[in-house]
Amino acid sequence: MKFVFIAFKDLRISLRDKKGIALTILMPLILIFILGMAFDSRFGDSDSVGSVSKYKVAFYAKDEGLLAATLRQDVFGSEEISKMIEVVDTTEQAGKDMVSKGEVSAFVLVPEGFTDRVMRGEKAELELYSDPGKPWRREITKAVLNSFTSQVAAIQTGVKAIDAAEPGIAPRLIPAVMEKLKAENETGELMQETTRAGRKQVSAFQYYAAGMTVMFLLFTALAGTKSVLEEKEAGTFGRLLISPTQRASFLAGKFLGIMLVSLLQVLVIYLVTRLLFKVDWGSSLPGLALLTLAEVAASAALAVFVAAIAKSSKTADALGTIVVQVMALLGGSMVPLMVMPKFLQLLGKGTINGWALTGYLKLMEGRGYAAVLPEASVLALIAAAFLTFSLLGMRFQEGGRI
Amino acid sequence: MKKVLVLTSNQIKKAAGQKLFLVVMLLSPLLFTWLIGLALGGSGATQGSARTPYYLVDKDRSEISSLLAADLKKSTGFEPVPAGEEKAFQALDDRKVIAVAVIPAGFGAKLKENKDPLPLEFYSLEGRSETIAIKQDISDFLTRLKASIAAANVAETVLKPGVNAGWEKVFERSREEWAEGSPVKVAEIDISQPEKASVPGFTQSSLGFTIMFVMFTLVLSVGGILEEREQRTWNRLLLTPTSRAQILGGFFLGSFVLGYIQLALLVLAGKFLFGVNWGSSVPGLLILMTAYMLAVMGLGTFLAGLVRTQRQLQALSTIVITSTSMLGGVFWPLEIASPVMQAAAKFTPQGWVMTGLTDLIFRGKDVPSILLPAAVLAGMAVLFFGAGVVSVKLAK
Repeated sequence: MKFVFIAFKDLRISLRDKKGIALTILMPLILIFILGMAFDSRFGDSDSVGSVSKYKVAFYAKDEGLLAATLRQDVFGSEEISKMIEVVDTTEQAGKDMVSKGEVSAFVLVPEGFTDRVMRGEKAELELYSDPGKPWRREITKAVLNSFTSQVAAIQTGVKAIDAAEPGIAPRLIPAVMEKLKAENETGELMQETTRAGRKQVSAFQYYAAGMTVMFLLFTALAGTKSVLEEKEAGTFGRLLISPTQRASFLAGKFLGIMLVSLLQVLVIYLVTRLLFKVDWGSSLPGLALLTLAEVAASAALAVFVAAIAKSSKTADALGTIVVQVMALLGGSMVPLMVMPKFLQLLGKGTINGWALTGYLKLMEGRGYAAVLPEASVLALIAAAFLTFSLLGMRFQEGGRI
Repeated sequence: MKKVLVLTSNQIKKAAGQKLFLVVMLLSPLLFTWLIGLALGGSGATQGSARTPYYLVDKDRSEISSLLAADLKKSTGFEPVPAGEEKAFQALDDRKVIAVAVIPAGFGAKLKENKDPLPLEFYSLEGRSETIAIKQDISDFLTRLKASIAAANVAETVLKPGVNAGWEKVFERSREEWAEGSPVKVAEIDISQPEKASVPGFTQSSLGFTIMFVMFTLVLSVGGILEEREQRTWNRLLLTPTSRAQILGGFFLGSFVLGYIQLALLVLAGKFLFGVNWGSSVPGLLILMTAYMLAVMGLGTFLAGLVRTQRQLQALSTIVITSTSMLGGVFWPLEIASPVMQAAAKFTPQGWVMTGLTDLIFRGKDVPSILLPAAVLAGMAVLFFGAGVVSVKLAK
């Protein structure tokens, strides 16, 4: 049972390292909180809608027609849009100046005769001046304007089509036709966001809770690798070998030690995010337990493996940091994999955190433990494979370099 | 001064000797730039180079629903992949696809009737900006289709029956009006556009990861002091007729030059590999980056003071740099973040340098616009150095 002793000794050493604890537990919590708030549409104050904070748009209508007024009052004045955009009424030159000074994110100009052109069935354009420093806000403003112009176009094209079917109908009936078209176009929702029975949509808060947890587990694993290498370099490993301790039990001890530290870390993260941030980690406790164990085992095994095959701690140090970052990125901890190109999604399948994150998200959707069996099995296999390889490839003979 | 320069060149020679370190510090930022640039939509905020797919399930199989399916294919940003319901939901469960849109049975008939339309069902995994964009896209095409239906419906009520009316005819006619897109449009005009517009996705990620990895180099290089202490070379240097200020000066100057070399290489790589336009104000860029590097070296000194060995510093700095980079707008543009994150960014050097770089590069501005960020960064440098000097116990 020497390996158990080694494991608990390592756990004790880790617990004594106050700064280390602060980093591996506080840092993910802070990041989960801030990223969750930043990207969650259902969290935070009423001032933020979607992932975007409220911003200013300058508005000026050179057009005196009905449409300019509709845009100003019914579109920008609507409850939904005014949560997102604050309209500043201005004049043409002042509006352009405000954009170039960065005082507003965009300036909307309704050109002279806009309403008339639309009424005559001609092509018409709204002008959007935007701050090149805020390309994403430009897209949002554009989406708002586009939805207005397509509503306008819906009526215009309708009138034209009807007019073409019976030329001459125009003057007499147009106002009535327009009213009817407007009414027709406004009935009911054409589209509805929904979820399947028993499923929940995962919020950005949940996403980053899982993403950061798996990323920081990798950091913990990296720290574990270093602790093994330190024993090698400090010569304590060499001394252990003189004592009746087998290499395998040294490895097993280290593996278990890293697992214990990681388990402690995730448990605290689960609890704090659950209690403080109300993060829902799913309703399947067995599923969560299974996934957690498999994941923690896989990352601890990776740590032991790297330590076993590394020629020097320098190599492990330099590569480790970057490998963790790349794995975090490829596994979807920073940006969801589904928005990345196909081949990157395939690369994500090669990461421990990628599998674990997928598992967490499945649980968060409200699925049972059966749903995460594939992920848990893959992670368990990874753990077994790394452990086997570290036993085979152990270069501990060269240990005690100094 | 000569001694300082010798120490400076030592520092650079030492870095040049670490091949692995060099590769990591030059190749990984490029890798990150590329990956995140793709994720942010390589060629713009909405028009990705490859269209993002989603599954489209047509349970209606009516004339209207097949028209809609055909329309959706014309989208520039998203690609509807036709699929059966079971397959689509399985793919959603396996997280192979970001969203599924289902046209329910009876959709076409109800839409034609237009009393209480049956909404198209939209299922997605996470409520994020990407799924919102797909929804918006589908909704645009739906609006157009409905406009034509509405026109045909209204025509039936106002036109003399039997004359030229005909539902189909008006419907077709109206669809033709939409053939080239909406006749009423939004014209985009950029104010003070830099001469050559660069791609927002890659520009954002290139700027971000350049400053993030310069930060890695600087913090670790400044932290080299710890190594000198561990190996006792620091004490030996102090025995020589060299003042402590000279040694430190050489050390910092070396790190600074190293940072600038890396910066220059990454700026060039960004320019030629990702088509990033680094703005027209070279003095602006120099002032801003110098202030940033000083702040980061200050941070490095401070962090070095918190730990005992170079190895501990590596562990600490990885976490500190990655985390502050996420908050400071390296991974995502701050403009799409919430007020809380925008406020948090104000406490990171990355947040300020990104603000300055946005002015220089996206807005094509000059020196005056970056004076504030540069001043704040200089202030951070003073604060961090101060805190660092207090905590680094250099010579015992």
